[in-house]
Order: sequence, then C-alpha cells, then structure tokens
Amino acid sequence: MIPGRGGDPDDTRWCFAQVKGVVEVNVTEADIISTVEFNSTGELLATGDKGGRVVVFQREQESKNQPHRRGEYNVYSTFQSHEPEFDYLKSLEIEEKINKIRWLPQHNAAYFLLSTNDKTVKLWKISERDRRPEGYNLKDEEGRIRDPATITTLRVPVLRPMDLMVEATARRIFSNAHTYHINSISVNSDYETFMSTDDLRINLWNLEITNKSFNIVDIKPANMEELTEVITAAEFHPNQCNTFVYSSSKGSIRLCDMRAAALCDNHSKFFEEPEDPSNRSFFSEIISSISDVKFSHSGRYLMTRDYLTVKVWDLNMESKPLETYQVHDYLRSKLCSLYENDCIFDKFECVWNGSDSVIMTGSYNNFFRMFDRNTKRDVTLEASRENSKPRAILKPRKVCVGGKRRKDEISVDSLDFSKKILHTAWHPSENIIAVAATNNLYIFQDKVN
Amino acid sequence: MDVSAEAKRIIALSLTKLYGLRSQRGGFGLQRSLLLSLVMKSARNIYHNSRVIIESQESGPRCVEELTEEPKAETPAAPCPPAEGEWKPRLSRCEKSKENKENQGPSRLDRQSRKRRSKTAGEPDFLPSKRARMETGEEGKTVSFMSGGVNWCRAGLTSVPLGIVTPGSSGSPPSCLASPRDLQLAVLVPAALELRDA
Repeated sequence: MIPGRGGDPDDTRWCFAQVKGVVEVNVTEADIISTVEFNSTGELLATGDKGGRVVVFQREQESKNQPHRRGEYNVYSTFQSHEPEFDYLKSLEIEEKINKIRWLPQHNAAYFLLSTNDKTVKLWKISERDRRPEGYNLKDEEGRIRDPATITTLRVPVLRPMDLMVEATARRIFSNAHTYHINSISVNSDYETFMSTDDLRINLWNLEITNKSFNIVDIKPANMEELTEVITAAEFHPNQCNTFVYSSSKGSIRLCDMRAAALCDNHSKFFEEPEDPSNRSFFSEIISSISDVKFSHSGRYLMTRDYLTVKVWDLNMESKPLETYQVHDYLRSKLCSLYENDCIFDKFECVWNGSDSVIMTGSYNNFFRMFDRNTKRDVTLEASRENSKPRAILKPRKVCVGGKRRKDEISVDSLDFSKKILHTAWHPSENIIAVAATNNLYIFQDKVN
Repeated sequence: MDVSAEAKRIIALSLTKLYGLRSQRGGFGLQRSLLLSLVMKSARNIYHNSRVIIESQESGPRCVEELTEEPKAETPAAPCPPAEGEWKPRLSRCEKSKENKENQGPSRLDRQSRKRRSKTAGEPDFLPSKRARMETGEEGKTVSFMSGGVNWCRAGLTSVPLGIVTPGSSGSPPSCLASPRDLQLAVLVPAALELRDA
C-alpha cells in the first residue's frame, strides 16, 4: 500500500512493530480499548478503555545505532479519567467508558487532552516532573513541620534532579450539558473552543469555561414520537473555525457555518446519496447509519463510514460521494444474522493518512482495510498475535465469498465476529498506524527499505 | 409465507432487544432504540402486507375494495402489488392505509376492547395480564425506560403488558408467537412506536 511517499507501491509493505496488552482467554470488559488517538505531532499515542482509563504512550527518540528501528512507543502515563457514576434522578448508571479522546495542540512542555464518557468531558494536563525542591526552612527532609524556634539559619531551597514522574491532573471538567449520550468531541482550529455532541444536540464550549456552554445544534423534535434520526458524529473543519459537520443515523451529513446563526439547525450543505432501491431490506436504515465522519487534513474532503462502506465526499458536491469503497460487502447477505448477534450496530471508525491519499477502516476477524485513493487498490490486513514477530511483514488477507476457497483465503462463515477492529489511528505524518483489537493495541509501520 | 414468518421473527427479535436495552448498563441508547424501532416498523409493514395479500387471495376482490375505500389512503387507487416476497417500500404505503385505520381514531377504550377480544380467544402465555405487571412492580422500570426522553414507549407499554418478552438469550425470539393474532398484540407496541412519515 502506498504510504504517501510515492514510488512503486510494491516496494512498501506494512510490518508489525509492537503490541500492547495481554493475551487473555476471557477478556476483561474494562480492558477493551474504546478509542485511539495520536497527538498532532505523533509523538504521543493515547488509548481509552471501557474501564475509564487513559493510557498514553510516548515515542522513543530514534537512536542512531539502530536506524532501521523507528522509535518505539512506550507507556508514558496511565490515569483513571472517568469513574462510574449514578444518576439518582433517572436511576441510571453512567458508564465510565471513554468514548473519545482528542489532543490539544501543544503550547508548552505539558500535554493536554480532552477525554469524554457518555456525559462528561474532561481536560487533562499531562506534565513531567524531573526535579524537586530541597532545603525547605519550615519542613525537614521527610516533610514534617519544623518547630520555628529551632530554626537558626535561613537557606534558599534548590531544585535537585529526581526520577522522572509523569503526572496527569484534571484541569477542567465540563459536565451537566448533555441529556443524551456523548458520541463525539472535536477541538476547533481556533484552539479556544471545542464541541461535544450527543444524540440530539451539539454544544460549544470554551476550553477555559466550564460553567457555560452554547447549544449550536438541536434536532430534538417537540414530540419525541416524531423522532426519525439522531446525530452520530460531528467534527470541526481543520482550518475554518466557523465550519463543522455532523452525520446522522439516516446516512446524511450536514455542514454548518456558525457565522450564519447562533443555532445552526439550518445546514449550509447537505450531503446524502440516494438509496439504491435494489438494496432495500429490513435493515437498510441500520446499515446506512453513519458511524464516523472525518475531514481530510486538507479540509477539502470528508470521509464517512457506514456499516458496509466508506465514502469520500468532496465538500463542493453534495449530491453523491466522490468515491465509495466496499469494506466487507460479503456481509450484505448476512445482515439478519448480524442483527441477531447485534454486530449490525457496531460503529466502525475511519481515518486518513497524513497526505490524504490512503484511508483505513476496520472490519471483523481482526481485519482492517486500507484503500489507496490514487491507485484504487485496496488491501486487507490482520492484527493477530500470530503475525507478531518483530518487523514481520503483514500478509494481505482475502475473504472468500463463494465458490472454491483458495488455500490462504478465509470463508465468510469462518469469520470471528467477536474480533472487531472498531478503532484505528494513523500517525499524522508517517506511516505508523495503531489498531485496537479488543484489549490489545497493535502498532504497525511500513517497511523501511 | 416465508416473508411473513421472517417478518414475525424479526419483530419478536426486535422487541426482545428493545426490552433488553432497559437493563443495559449506562441506560438505553437513543440511537439503538430508534434503529430497532425502525426495523420493527419495516418488519411489521412487511408482515401486514403479506397478510393482506394472503387475505386478498383468499377473499378475492373484497379486500381490494376495502383498501380502495380507505379514506386515509395515501395513493388514491391503493393498488397492492401482489408480489409476495418483494420488499418494496411502495408496499408499505398500501398496508399503512390499513394500519392507519388501526392506529388513528381509536381511543384508549377501543384499544383495550380490541385487546379484550383477543383475550377471549385465548391469550398467549408470553403476554401476562396488566394486573400481573403492576404486581411485579414493572411500573418503576417503565419510568426509567422513558426517562431518557423517548416518550413513545408509554402508549405502547400501557396497551401491552411489559412482561411480553421473557428472554433467555437476547437472540432467540419467543417461541410462543404462534398465531397472527398473537402478533397483533405484539405489534401494538410498534404501532405506538410508529414514527410519522414525512
């Protein structure tokens, strides 16, 4: 798969770099990774899990002694972001599962990220401490208060080096603004505001202010019996701080301009592809529901993921997508079974590579797919422990749809639907990808020649 | 017949899932509930439509006349393409005209009287009586289910007792959905869920 550097695509292939997490027969629910995100430089990689924890990995400095081995990602910080809560009024438990993590751009030595569960967004500061002050006048070395009567001289405390300590502190807590479950957060390019999105509403916050938030989209009908669609995802434009998009469960995307009105219920653009009547079934509504929407880095394109396809839209063309890629069309005839086992409700995410030339999304059986927009070639790869030897090249996988199954192919009925790749991330500038497979995080890199 | 059996199965499955949502940790998701109700609506439309086709085949032209006389029919002639097994959206319009008769107009009293009629016919055991529901304290659960803001449950739940689904696994439909009349009670729930079309 072309990593964006140009040249013959056959030269570049993906290989295994690292895997994080333990191998368990029965996976602990709390360890299931629920979100993955690189920061803007790619130096840090954050994961959130169902247990409300955030683990941040940092890339090692590349060493000159081993030039073929790019920097590894090692644990930098782990903290409990959200705890389970109970809404006494509604008698409902609020899950601690981290739905999304978004990094803020870096301004100083500390790192900042936003993490959210169903109801509350938190701003976390991750900072390093490698020095501590020694030589207090009023405290002794153990920290006990000294009797002032015993102090005969004064000294100035000095900073002495200590073992590196990385601490995470919650700097802001943005709560009580969402009646429904938060599914997205997005930091604005003005670096002052961000938005949080639930099923029916989108709220705009200032990063500094936690007791006020502005509602910018509200699709709740006056009569809930008339509800026909919900918001499934939303994102700010990467360059234009006034523009954002949100996707719906009906398969449409609305682009809104905040300059037009305070409440952006009227969209500026409406992207929807008419449904193919030959594909109509009981489950048409479910599979057309958009599970993820992402702007390209350039801001020119939009990518959406529904159950069976990934679509790339040109912002200037609302009537139909520019490109449509079939992720796993062989599941179209299995929709009833997938409805029975709830897999049809799985929400897959999609990502762009740094140059917007390749897109990636997950599938079942721990497969993930990459589509090269220029060459129109695609590849299916697998995240598995069997392919976990260092720098082992990943072999393309193929699903056999019908007829005779070739030796290396896997038949549709043999796919393991409990192994799903919902969350993936692509380094902002290099060909390094992070793939979350249940409770394991795989990191793959393109082969360096 | 395959279509209607499949539709019945999907309705039952959807109901199981909908009720299962109530006990889910984190409260019920609005999106999942909406999608489930949409599937149930499609399945119910298909099922009713296939029943209409069967009845029209059995009773001859009488059925077609009933449909054409339907005042609320969205298409004037209300043709019913008899193609069984074809799941065209157009079919649902014809069937919906019959549904509207069911769902509009009738007051609560009428609904209850309809229910009582089928009760005399022999209520299936997966539908316990309303009395039993209140005794088991299901009301409280009803409130919490609706508290997420989806009010459509109320009408449906009061017309059909909560104990409708006795799930073993979430995937298995109740085996007691034996007759179309049983299903009529089951679809009173989705009738309440029916989202008005534009």
